[in-house]
Amino acid sequence: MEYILETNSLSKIYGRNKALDNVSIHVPKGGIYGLIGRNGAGKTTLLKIISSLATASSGEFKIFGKTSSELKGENVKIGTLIEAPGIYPKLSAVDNMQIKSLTMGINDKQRINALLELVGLDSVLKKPVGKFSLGMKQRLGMAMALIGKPELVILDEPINGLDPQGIIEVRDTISKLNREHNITFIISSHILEELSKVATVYGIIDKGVLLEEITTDALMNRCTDKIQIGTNDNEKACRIIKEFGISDFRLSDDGFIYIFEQTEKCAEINFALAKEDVPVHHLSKCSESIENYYINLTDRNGGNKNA
Amino acid sequence: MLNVIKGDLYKMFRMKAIWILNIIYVVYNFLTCYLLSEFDEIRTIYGIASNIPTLLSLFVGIFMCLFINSEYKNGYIKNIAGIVTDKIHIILSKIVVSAVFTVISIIIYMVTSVIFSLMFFKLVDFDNIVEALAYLGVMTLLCIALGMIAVMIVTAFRNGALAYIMTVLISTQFIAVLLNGLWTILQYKEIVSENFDISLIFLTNYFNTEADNLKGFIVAVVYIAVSSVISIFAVKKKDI
Repeated sequence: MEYILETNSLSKIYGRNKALDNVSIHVPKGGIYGLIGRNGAGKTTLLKIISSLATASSGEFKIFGKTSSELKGENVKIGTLIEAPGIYPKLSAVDNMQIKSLTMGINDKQRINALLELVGLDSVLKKPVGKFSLGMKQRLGMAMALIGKPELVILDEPINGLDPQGIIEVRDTISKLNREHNITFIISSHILEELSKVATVYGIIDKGVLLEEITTDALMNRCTDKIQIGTNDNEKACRIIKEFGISDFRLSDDGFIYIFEQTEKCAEINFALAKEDVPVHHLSKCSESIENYYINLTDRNGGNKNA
Repeated sequence: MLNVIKGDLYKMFRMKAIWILNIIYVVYNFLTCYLLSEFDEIRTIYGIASNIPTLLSLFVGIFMCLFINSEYKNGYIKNIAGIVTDKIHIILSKIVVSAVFTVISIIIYMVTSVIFSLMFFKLVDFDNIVEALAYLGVMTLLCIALGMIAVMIVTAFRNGALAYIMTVLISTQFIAVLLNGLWTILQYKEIVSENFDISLIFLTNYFNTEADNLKGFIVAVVYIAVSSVISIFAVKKKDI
């Protein structure tokens, strides 16, 4: 898999506080990477280091295959929106865009208008941005992040403080940009449920430690309703399950068979296996919400740390 | 580098503060010319130049505080710090902004002063225009230096309020009076040399006086250089 960004054991220490502890993330090109963590988990610190707004105490990172020192002096194709959109409230959206555009050496008013149209702000071009709603400001921040035609866009808590309508607007814009312009996104949030609607890969971070990197498919597999079966003859068991009329099942690397459909027929499946002389040593029905999965994971980390 | 300057200048000319400060300045200028004409009939161009009020330095300082502080306050610095090829450009661009604002203010001052003087005085003498320009050049540098002190305070301490306070105290010569007093005490206690006049290193020593232009030039350049170096160090080393 091609990665647009890789960090290698990034650490950041503020005084006695270790904000980041050997964090290694891998952001696939063309994906939407959801960086999940509670407030104070180290998400913003990580994103600031990647965006060259802060320096790491140790470790390194590669963007587009180049280390940060190799990228010095180059115009890196990254757009950022860290913490809050840095906008001048008394100026219009066009003026705010123009300032950043000129700073990047781009003088293209058509592109500014096109970007504002893309984020749905083309009807308020001249309005002072101080009068914008929070969602509109976030979308303006995103438009500003897109000025240099970036291949990677870093958004820190883009849905923070937004109302449900604002969240949908921002989410749709991200999906559209990813789909139509093949822009890779890194989005941080503490609301996993919201990120789950757009992210393709997750990095779960807590207390400065990256707990897990997991794809959306793998996460869904772990969280959706399923039957977990452990047998002494998985090959035969799989054949019986298929004959039972189940097609959505998987023999996992952990030695268990997972069935994702007809989960209400747990007893019947057990009976079918027993009838065919397949010894079943484990059978359970499990489900977990994404939020619970995240909470359990971070709680385990807290337990380890406190131990 | 040029792009950062372009962005900063665009922002500067969009800020209402630049025009509000200069309008106040013109009104002040009008009143000053009118009052001076009550006591005199002739005004020289050098007299106009050397009469640049403390208000100019104060306004340059306040404008630069507003300018740099807003970048940190609204988070705009985060938009640009990651995209510039070298963070030095952010600070060097502020020298240009400070210079442009100062030059605009001085031009407005000189043009309106001449116009108001022609209105209120019987004669305006343009003979010593070269001396006037030399003095204005040094004044420009001194004002840039004050602006860069404001930039240094905001970038190094991230404290806008401190920058405003220091700017006001420096331009109104409060700091100079304070340090002069302190220096006198130290001289009296024989802790420091009696031969050194500390006021020579004050920026404000060269405001509103006909002091040696060369000394003023050196002091201004040293302040600009030191403030810029500290600001560059802060912007490069401190996390944003």
